Amino acid sequence: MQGKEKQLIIESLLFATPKPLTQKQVNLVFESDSPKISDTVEQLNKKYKIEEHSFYIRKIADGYQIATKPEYEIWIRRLLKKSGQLMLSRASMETMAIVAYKQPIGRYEVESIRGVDCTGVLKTLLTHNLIRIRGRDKGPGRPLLYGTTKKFLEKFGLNTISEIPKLREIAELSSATE
Amino acid sequence: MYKVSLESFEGPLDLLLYFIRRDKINIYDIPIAKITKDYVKALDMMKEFNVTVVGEFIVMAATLMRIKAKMLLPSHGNDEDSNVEDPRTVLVQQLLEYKQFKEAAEHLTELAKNQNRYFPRKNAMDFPEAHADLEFYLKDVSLFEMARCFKIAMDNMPVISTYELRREQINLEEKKAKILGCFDGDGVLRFSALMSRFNHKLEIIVSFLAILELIQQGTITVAQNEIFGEIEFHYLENLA
Repeated sequence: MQGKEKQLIIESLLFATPKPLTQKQVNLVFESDSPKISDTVEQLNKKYKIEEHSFYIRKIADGYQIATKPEYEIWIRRLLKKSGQLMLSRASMETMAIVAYKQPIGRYEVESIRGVDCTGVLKTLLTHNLIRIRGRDKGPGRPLLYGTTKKFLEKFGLNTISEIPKLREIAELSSATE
Repeated sequence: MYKVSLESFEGPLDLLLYFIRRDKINIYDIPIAKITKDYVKALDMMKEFNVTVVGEFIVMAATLMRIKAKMLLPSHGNDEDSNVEDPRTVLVQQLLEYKQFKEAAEHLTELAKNQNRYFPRKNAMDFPEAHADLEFYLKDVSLFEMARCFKIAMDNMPVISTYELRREQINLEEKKAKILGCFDGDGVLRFSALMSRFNHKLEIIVSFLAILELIQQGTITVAQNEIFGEIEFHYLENLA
C-alpha cells in the first residue's frame, strides 16, 4: 500500500469518526503495517494549509479530529442556531474543578472545600458524563470516588489530564489581573 | 449602607470571599467583627428577598461569631507563647483552598469557552448492525450509566404478585372432595398424576393427610404392584 493511499484512508477515518481518532483505532483498522497517525496528521494539515481550507485536524483527548477553525465560529453558530456553550453553572464548574484537580475524590471532600452540599451537582456532572465513578474509598462508609472522563478532556480542549494548568499558575494569573 | 448584589453566591465561603474582594481585605488578617456584621446583614437581606437561607450559611454565621467571641477573650498564659493559635486560622485555610478552586473553575470555564469555538465533524449516524458485538455496546458505558440503568430496571420491574408470601388456607374436607373428583371412570387414580396437580408444599401436605383420611375411612384403597412402582388409589365405592 502506498503512503499516499494510507494518508487518504486516515483522512477518511477522521472524516467519518464521531470521536477523536486514536492510534489504537488506526492500528485496528490497518491490522498490520499501520501508519503513525501523528505523522499523517502533520502531512494532512500541511496540505490543508496550502490548499487553504476552513478546517484542520486538531489533537484532543489523546486523539485527532477534524474541526473548523475558530474564525468561522460565528457563521457556524448562525447555522446551528445555538450558543454551543457548555452550559455549566458556577456550582458545577467549581465542583468540576475540584474533581479534576483532586481526583479520585469523594463527595465529602468536595463539600468540605465548597462549604455546601454537592450531591445534586455531582449527579449533574455524572449525567453529562464529565465525571465518572472511579471506585470506593477505603475509609468508613466506603464512599464513592469520582474522577474526570475523556469527555471532560474533549469539552475543555485538553489532551491529557496532566495538561490542566497548575493551581499555582492559575493563582498567579488571577493575582496579576486583580 | 452596604449594597450586596444578589448575584447568587455559591455558598458561605463564596460570600465571605466577596466581602474580602470588595473591601480589599487581607485574607490573612480578616477583621472578624466587621465581616461578621456584613455577613449577618447579608443573610438578613437574603431573608427579606425571600431567598431561603440554607443551613450552610447559618453554620458559617455561627462559626464567625464563635471566632469573634474567642478573639474577644483575653488569651490566658504567656502572650509570647506562639502556640496560641489564631482562631481565624482554620477559616482562612478553608477560604484559601476554596478561592483556589473558584479560580480554577473560572479558568476551566475559559478553556471550555475556547474549545467551543472549534466545531468538530460530528457523525451522529449509528450503525450498530455493522458492529453487533458486545465490545461495541460496552465500550462507552460508565459505571454511573450502568447503575442508573439498573435503577431504572429495578423501578420498572413488574410486581409479581405470586411472589407475595401469603398462607393459603387449604381445607382438608375440600381437599378430600377434590381428590375424589380426580378419579377416572374406572375409579383409579395414579399417585404421580395426583401429585402433578399440586403447586406448593402446604397443598401437598394437606393432600397427603386427606389421602390418609380417605384410606382410614375406607373410601379409597392404595396399591403398589411392585417395589418403587406406581402407586395407585382405587375408589372403593366404585367397586361396590
